[in-house]
Amino acid sequence: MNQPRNFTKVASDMFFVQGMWAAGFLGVMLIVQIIKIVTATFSDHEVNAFFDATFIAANIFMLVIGIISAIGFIPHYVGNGVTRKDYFKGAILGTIGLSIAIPIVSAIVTSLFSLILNLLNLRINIVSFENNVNDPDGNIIGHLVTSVIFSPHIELSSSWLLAILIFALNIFTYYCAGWLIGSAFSRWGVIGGLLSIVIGFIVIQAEDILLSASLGLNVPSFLEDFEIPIVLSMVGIILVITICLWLIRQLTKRIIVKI
Amino acid sequence: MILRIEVKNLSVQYRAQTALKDISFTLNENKVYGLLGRNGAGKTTLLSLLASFREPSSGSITIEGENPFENAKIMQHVNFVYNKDFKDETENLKNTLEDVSRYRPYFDLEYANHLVQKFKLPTDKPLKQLSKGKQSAVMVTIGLASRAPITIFDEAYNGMDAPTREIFYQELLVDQSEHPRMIIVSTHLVSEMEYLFEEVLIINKGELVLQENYETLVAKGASITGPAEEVDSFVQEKQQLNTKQLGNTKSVMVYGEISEAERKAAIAKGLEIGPLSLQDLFIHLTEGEE
Repeated sequence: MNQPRNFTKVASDMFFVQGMWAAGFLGVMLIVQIIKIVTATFSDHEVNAFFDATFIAANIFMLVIGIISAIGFIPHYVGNGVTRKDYFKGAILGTIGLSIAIPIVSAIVTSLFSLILNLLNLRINIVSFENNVNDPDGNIIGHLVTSVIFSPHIELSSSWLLAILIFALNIFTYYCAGWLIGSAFSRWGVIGGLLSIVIGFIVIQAEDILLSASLGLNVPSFLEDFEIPIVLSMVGIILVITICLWLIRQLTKRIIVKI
Repeated sequence: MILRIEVKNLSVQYRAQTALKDISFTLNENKVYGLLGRNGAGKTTLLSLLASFREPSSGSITIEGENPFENAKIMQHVNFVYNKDFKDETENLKNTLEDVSRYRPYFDLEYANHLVQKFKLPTDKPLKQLSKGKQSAVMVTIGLASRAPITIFDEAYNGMDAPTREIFYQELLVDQSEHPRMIIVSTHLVSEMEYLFEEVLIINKGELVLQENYETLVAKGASITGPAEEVDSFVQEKQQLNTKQLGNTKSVMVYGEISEAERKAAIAKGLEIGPLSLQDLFIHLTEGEE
């Protein structure tokens, strides 16, 4: 009997299935952006860049599809004779591909928008959102909420490669957090699932702080005096993601497919 | 290809409840095995172990000498067809079949299309919009067309109407003889499906009650039909499984072999001797308080 190489098939499946969802998501974002531009022409002539808008919304999108992936795909693959391990490896690869594809598509669309606005000679300023990761009043819930909304971010115009890379790293982290939460719910039920939400937030926060510290963005006050080189924080982020993936693997390795 | 299944002292425990208790058997031929058991007897648990959906609490399962759980070499050759809930499935049949064909090495798309026509399945509608019976036919189509060396149908007929079930049974028999493989069919619709089985396993309350060739099994008893008094006197010494009476004609199902002398005597008295029905035997072996 031959050993099938299923994880590569799973990887392309996961890339295309999740890619279809992402296309729907980006499509909605595109319509919103067009509406925003049209309204802006009648008011203050200012609108966020498409890249920035998708950067914010893609976090939540990836968190949600991470949860769906954990719950829906294992029964599908095991039912088709694919091992949990092949699913795990394939889902990581497919999602890395997706995490890179989304910012690239978003960057291309953003450039097309500026081109069209210039061609049409519309007097619209593309403005960036303010990065206020650290809430001045130190409210922890407020901080959590704003850190989800305003993740560490680099303007596309300042360094497109870094901007795309950070976008990708950021949404991949959110996917992993969602995947962890979904896996914990299907393995442990409600109590363990709720606990995993806390772990998921820690993962996101750790990534957030490491990125902010090395990009010179706002960080929580206890870290203000530290400067972390970008290489070190990248290593740190990869470590955090690896730990998160290891946890997911432990949860799903022997998971029962209930019918 | 024959993939030998060997199950040894297998038990499954769900919290306080024992689902399977110390089950051992071997399946080593490419034929149709019938797995019979009442609701909750442990059929689905046993089959989901074979399909690596779960692991046993104790004991072992090997397929071709290897543990099938998380074993990609084995898992690709085991196809488990059950009553899958398609209520969230937005994919259509055409794409679903293409998807399955990538993971099943012996998948035959042409045969799948033949089944799609036989079952009159729409290929472009989301699966969630199909009726329960059509959804079962989708699962059966995938199961048959995958031609997996070990194919398991766990009450796969659910929701199908009688003519559709008949198509399923016929296709199963024809395709199994053309492409021999091990097919395990679990059911409690015994009377309707018994002609499919070449070997029968009966489980009751998590325990294996018997494993026997179909022919040998039905020769272990007989139905005796004739005038009531004659039938009564003939069967009084025997273990009776079931009795039916219409006017003065009585038919009694007995368990236990009937010798040649008895057979002759019965015929001389004008009694008719027919085969044992698997259904009656099944009821007899699995009856008892819930």
